[in-house]
Amino acid sequence: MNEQKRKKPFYQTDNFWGYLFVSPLVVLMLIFSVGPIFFSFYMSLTEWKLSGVGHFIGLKNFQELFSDDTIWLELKNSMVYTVFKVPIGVAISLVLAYFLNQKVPFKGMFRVIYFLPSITMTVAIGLVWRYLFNSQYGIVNVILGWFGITGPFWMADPKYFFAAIIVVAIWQGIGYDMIILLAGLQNVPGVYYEAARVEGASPFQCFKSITVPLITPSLFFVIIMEFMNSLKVFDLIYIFINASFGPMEKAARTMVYGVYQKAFVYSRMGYASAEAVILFVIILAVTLIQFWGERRWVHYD
Amino acid sequence: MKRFKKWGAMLLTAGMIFSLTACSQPEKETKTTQQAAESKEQNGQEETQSQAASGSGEEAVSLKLFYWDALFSEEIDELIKAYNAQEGNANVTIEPTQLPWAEYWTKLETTLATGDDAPDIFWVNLAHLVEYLPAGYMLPLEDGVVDLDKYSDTAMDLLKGEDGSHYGVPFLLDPNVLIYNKAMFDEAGLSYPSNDWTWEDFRNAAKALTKEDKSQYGYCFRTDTGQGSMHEWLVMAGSNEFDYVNSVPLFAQDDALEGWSFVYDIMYQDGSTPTGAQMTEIQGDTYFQSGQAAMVFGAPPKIVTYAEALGAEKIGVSMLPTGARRACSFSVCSMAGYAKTKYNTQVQSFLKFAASKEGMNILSKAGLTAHLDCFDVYEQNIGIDVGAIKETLEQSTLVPILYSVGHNSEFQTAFNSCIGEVYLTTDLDKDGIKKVIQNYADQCTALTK
Repeated sequence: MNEQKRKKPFYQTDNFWGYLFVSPLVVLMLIFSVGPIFFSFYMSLTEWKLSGVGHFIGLKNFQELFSDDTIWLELKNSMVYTVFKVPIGVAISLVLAYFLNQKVPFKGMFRVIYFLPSITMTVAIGLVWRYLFNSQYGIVNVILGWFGITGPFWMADPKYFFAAIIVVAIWQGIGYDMIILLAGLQNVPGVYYEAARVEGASPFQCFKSITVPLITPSLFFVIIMEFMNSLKVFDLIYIFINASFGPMEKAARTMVYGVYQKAFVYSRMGYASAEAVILFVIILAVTLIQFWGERRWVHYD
Repeated sequence: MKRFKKWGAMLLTAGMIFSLTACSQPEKETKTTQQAAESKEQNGQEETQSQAASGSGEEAVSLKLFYWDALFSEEIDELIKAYNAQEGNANVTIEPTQLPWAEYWTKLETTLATGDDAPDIFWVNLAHLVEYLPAGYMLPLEDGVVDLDKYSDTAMDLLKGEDGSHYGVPFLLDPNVLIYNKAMFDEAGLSYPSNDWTWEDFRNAAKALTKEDKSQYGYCFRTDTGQGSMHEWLVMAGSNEFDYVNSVPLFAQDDALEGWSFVYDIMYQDGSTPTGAQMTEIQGDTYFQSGQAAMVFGAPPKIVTYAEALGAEKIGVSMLPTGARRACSFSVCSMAGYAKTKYNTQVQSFLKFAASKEGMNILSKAGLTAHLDCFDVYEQNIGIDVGAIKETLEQSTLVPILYSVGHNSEFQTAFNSCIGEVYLTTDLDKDGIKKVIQNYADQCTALTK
């Protein structure tokens, strides 16, 4: 009997059907994701114009890249963006998720409101926020004015320009993170809270000692995704920079913006690929470090 | 071990799928060869048909025309209709394809390079002309296609190849002019700008037209790099942004510095144009278009836009003020034939018709054409006296705009940053400006090494 089972051809097993059903996705991934990734490794070693065929030049692109100051600037900006956006964004999302998980009136409505920015086109967000940040007519400075503060030229002062973009990015991102964390919160059994309350724990103690540890898997997911997305940020940056000029570009250009500029403005696909490869390595490293750290603070049960 | 198995199975699946695709490959190939054979047969039939047709003098020919400006759709259709109405042209079908600007160049370039699906006739601007001409994409026009007396020499010279023949029919001509809001001049009791204005006249008028509460500025200086922006001041000052042909930055030269600092003074000494910071918030020429500034520099298509926004009766046009020289930048759009077209005769004949007064009159309804006799059609159509444009073409040194060639996209980025840094800094003197622009010019020079 056992022998017969082993002889059963592969295509009759359940596993075969499983693989068959996932194969369309796998194939598409190979063609449109994995393939291009490996191809860009190759491209990074070539001199390649937008059209035509590239020729192999070894590591020259990387040499040029590291001797150019802009890559360090882009790296710095990407890091600054990530360092501010991820912790602040996740913290706000967590607090919001916590409150929206309580018995508050109009809970559903608030959830929708907070989630809306996540499903709004980034282009629209960028354009509208540019108006909100207008020094004379924008609502941001009008509100600051109520408190006697003269708001700066948000969009024309390199000191504030990047900060303004990060604020918008945080605002845009909290909805998505919040929904994920909310789902995590709803899986926390109520008995823990009841027990804690009986023992006389304060709401803050509950939050700190029950809620946070029990949603660490969701938190971990959110933080990983946030890190990757922040390091890859492009759309918002592009919209803000594109409508601006000069020093503002320097203040806010991130790595993907650099890749875009090198590839599609300067038509240097090989050179752009080299920067993309560097970004890939950075994101890979950061993610690996996070997975290594996962064991220390994420509890799955 | 389990994990290893899993991955092994996945690799296997992938391999299988690849082999599947590999299997299907030959099938596809046979199919395509079949198709090719079929189409060859069809072609053969067509050939015999067309031979028969040409025997009777009525060869049916279909030409493709690519263009980018949707504003011209009606006029292009009309042009084709008028061409077909002429004797002997009824059998030439022309299929116009309008592509959005961003797609246009990619599509055009790939089709011209490979010959697949390439248009027989296409629009090309100056910046691309300088690439396409040496690349051999463009068809030399036969003598008599363009009546040289009727076209601006500057435009025709730009379309001349090394062999001396011309490679396109210039139809859109965009010299930059001073566009002003008549109502604001009337209100301030000033006389309208005249063609002999100097920079100083311009500056004084701008000052007089600026209201104290800044609800109205005398001038709207465009901080972008489009037509009518800093570029114009450099050209008037006797310089240019770059020597595009040799990739040399010119914008930090001494005569150029005069342009930079003159605008700087208008902005920060007189306050008669919005500051750099204001201009990053409200782009380009919005101040003029929304009736908050009295003067702006721009090319003819802008005149129509402004007339629509403010009313044609308020818009006046004059030549640019004279600085170190009487000059302005300009661009030319031309209609060209594809060098490898199968229908040379028909393409030449269509271009000849387009270049005639009759053809250009049709196109003039949508924009200012290069045919010197067609100005009145354009003028009537927009209802504004544009004599200044004609005078500009006759009297000014016309400096062609040639962006985005070779290193130039990197140059443009540096130049754009330079404009930003100069006009966002509020406390520069002439030496300070010199330092900033020199720094950017050095960056450009470094790029070429």
